[in-house]
Formats: sequence, C-alpha cells, structure tokens
Amino acid sequence: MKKMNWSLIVLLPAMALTLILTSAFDNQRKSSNPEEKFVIPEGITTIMDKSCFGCHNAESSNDKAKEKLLIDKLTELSKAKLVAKLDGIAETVGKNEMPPEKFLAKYPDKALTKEEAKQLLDWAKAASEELMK
Amino acid sequence: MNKKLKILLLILAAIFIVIQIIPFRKPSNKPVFGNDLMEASAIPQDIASLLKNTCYDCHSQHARFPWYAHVAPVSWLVARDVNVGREHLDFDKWGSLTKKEKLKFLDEISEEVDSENMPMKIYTIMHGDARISRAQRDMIVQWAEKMAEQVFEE
Repeated sequence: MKKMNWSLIVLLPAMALTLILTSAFDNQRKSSNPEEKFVIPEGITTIMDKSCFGCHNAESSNDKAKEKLLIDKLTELSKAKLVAKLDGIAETVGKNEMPPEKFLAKYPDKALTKEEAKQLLDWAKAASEELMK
Repeated sequence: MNKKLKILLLILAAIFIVIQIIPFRKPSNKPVFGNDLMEASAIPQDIASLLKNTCYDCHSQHARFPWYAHVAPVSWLVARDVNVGREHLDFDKWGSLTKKEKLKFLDEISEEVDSENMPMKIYTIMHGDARISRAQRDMIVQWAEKMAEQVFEE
C-alpha cells in the first residue's frame, strides 16, 4: 500500500507535466503556422472600416448587407466560404457597386477613392488566390 | 346585361387578345448534356429533388412551363423572372464553371435560401412543391457548405 502511494506521487505529476508540455508544443506549432489563420492587413481594415463595416457587421440593422458579408466574422469562415466572400468583395468593388449610390448620397465621405478601391480589389483577389493554392 | 359593362368587357377582351401578339424575349431550354449540376456531380436524391422543385424553373435549362406561362401578361412576368434568374445562377452552367465560380455559386445558394429571399413568394404562390420548410432550407444550406468543402479540396 505504502509503495503504491509513493509511485502515484511520482507518476501523477509526471503525467501532468507531459500533458502540459505536449499541449504547449501543440499550441506553438499551430500558431507558428501562418496558413492557419486568415489575417486582414491593417491598411485594408482601415479602408473597410470607413466604407464597408458600417453595414457589414454582425450587429448591423441592414439585413441584406448582413446576409451578404460580415466583415467581423470573416476570420471564422472556412476557406471555401472565404474564397466566395473575397470574390464577392472583388466583384462588387470592381463593378463599383459598393458602397451603394443611395448611401453615398447621404454620406459622401464614405465613398471609396480610386486608390482605395484598387487596394481593396487587389487584396481580395490576391487573398483568394492565396487560399486556392 | 348593363350596356356599359358589356362594352367594358369587350374592350378588356380586345386588349387581352392584342397583348398576345406583343413580342418579348421568351426563354427556352437549351441544356448542354453533362453540364447540369445533377449530371456533373453526385447529388443526394433528397437534395436533388428539393433543388429541382424549388430552383430549376428559373435557374436551369430544365424549366417546366405551365400553360399559363404562355399567356400574356403572365408570360411576360415568367420570361423576365427566368431570364434574370438564369443570368444570376444557372445550374446547367455548373460543369463549365471554374473552381472559384463554383464556390461563389454555392455561397450564393446558401445565402439566398437561408435568408428566405429564394424561392420568390410570387413563384411559390403558384407552385406548392416549391414551398419549403425551415428544415428543408437548412438541408440545402448544409449541403451547399459540404459541397463547397468538397469543391475546395478537389
């Protein structure tokens, strides 16, 4: 009985330590893999915050905008979905459909400048290509 | 019968006859064999019949046109909906889409079906088999997402 107790005292912490160590290594491996997480570059976030985020966020009251795109949920999507969303962004920005004219009539300062539209378009295309690799 | 009413009915009948000869872009089915989603990919039977009953009349080259779809002014409405529907999404184009286009196509389906934008109310009034429940909507959405994963992995 006494012998068993002693072995337990040694074994249990050893097992616990192994568990902690393996999970720590696991985490490190995951976070060091750049492909695991989709990150929106800061410059793009700034543009989207100005011209898109107002309607395309999870708390928005604009249902149609919410159905089409939730910028704050982009990073939670599967790669397959993300490609579709990025292509949607490229398409609407490329065709000059977003932000909508009616909205811009009210808030002209929310318009995308030519340079911003190009940046957004190039990013969406490149990010979708990257995911498809 | 009241004379005024008789004249009015005659005028309406004349208008009805005259509008039958106004030309419009009448949609016809031009399927390319092997290109349709059902022919190009393995689709579960229950999903296939859901899609056929709820989407295919406007979004494919396998549309079923009831008799009243040939009579103006309903024919104009049907023509418009089918022409616009096919422009947006055509199940018969599936086989010729790129991988990216397929992903967009499937995303579009889950969006429109989930939000209940599709099938259109005006269509389901006349087509009982296109009236789908929430559970059936969820089935289509889940299938579209699974299919997207499959396409992505290809």
